Amino acid sequence: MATFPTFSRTVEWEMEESIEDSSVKSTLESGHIHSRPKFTRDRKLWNGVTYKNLNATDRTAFLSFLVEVRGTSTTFTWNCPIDSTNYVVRFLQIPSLSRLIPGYYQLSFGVMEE
Amino acid sequence: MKTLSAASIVEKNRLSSPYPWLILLDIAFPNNTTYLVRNTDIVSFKGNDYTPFPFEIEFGKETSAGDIPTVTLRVSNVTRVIQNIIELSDGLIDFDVIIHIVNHHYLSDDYSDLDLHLTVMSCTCDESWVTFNLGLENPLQKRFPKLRYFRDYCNWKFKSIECGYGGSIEICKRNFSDCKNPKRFGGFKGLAATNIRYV
Repeated sequence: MATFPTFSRTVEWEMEESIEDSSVKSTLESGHIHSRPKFTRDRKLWNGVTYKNLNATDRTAFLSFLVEVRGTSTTFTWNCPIDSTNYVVRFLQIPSLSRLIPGYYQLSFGVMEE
Repeated sequence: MKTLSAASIVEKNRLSSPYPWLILLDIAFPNNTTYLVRNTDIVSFKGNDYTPFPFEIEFGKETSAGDIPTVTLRVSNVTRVIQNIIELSDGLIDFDVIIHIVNHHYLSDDYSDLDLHLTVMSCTCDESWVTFNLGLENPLQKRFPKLRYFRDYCNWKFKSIECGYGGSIEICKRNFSDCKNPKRFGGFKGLAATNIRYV
């Protein structure tokens, strides 16, 4: 299984951490909500994971990794910067890699636990 | 009336519960039975490990027109795993599918009253889903009488027990001239060659 590459820059502090909402709900006439989870585990979500000022080497490493995992098609191991735990995740969407100035890039993406 | 254990009934009647009700699927493929669960993790039930797999079940409407109710089962076909088995086994027609509905917290309870034992009536595949039309056999569509009387057409399926042929030939035209085991020919040579004979 592919592993998310290590870059020359550290990840930005700001990011969103949540879980997938897999609940089933029915609202009763009285206003009560009849609810239960659909699955035994709620998968974690991370959004807004951002790296700034990545250099050309980082860019090449990331693009190679993106080709290896075929975008959102396959899963990979990712070390969550919040709790330093390895998770098997996949990209929520194709990550965006934008050029800030010549030679420096910004990467942002969201991932979901498998 | 369907019966459940007291704990399951309490769980069912809760306004909110942390324990999910899961749908488990036993599909009897030709050489083995595949156990699938619509869940994020593996579930062990009655000694079998149910693999997480994407599938959806749609229960048909019951009408007063005498239609036999059917269930539509859609199983993910993204990896073509199921389709391969289907193509090797003539569309899985007449194979058995069992649907279990269980509570994850009380897996050791008896849920047999909630089980649905169904048969594959038809099957279609596209790039995303394998769709099984499940139901019970319609007695009005069964052949009666079971055997028909033809002069030169064998009733027996080639290489079946009734046919009795165990050789290497793979094709039989099921007529007397092509019969590989004429002693067991499943036609009725005594019937007239033309027209219908009433016996």
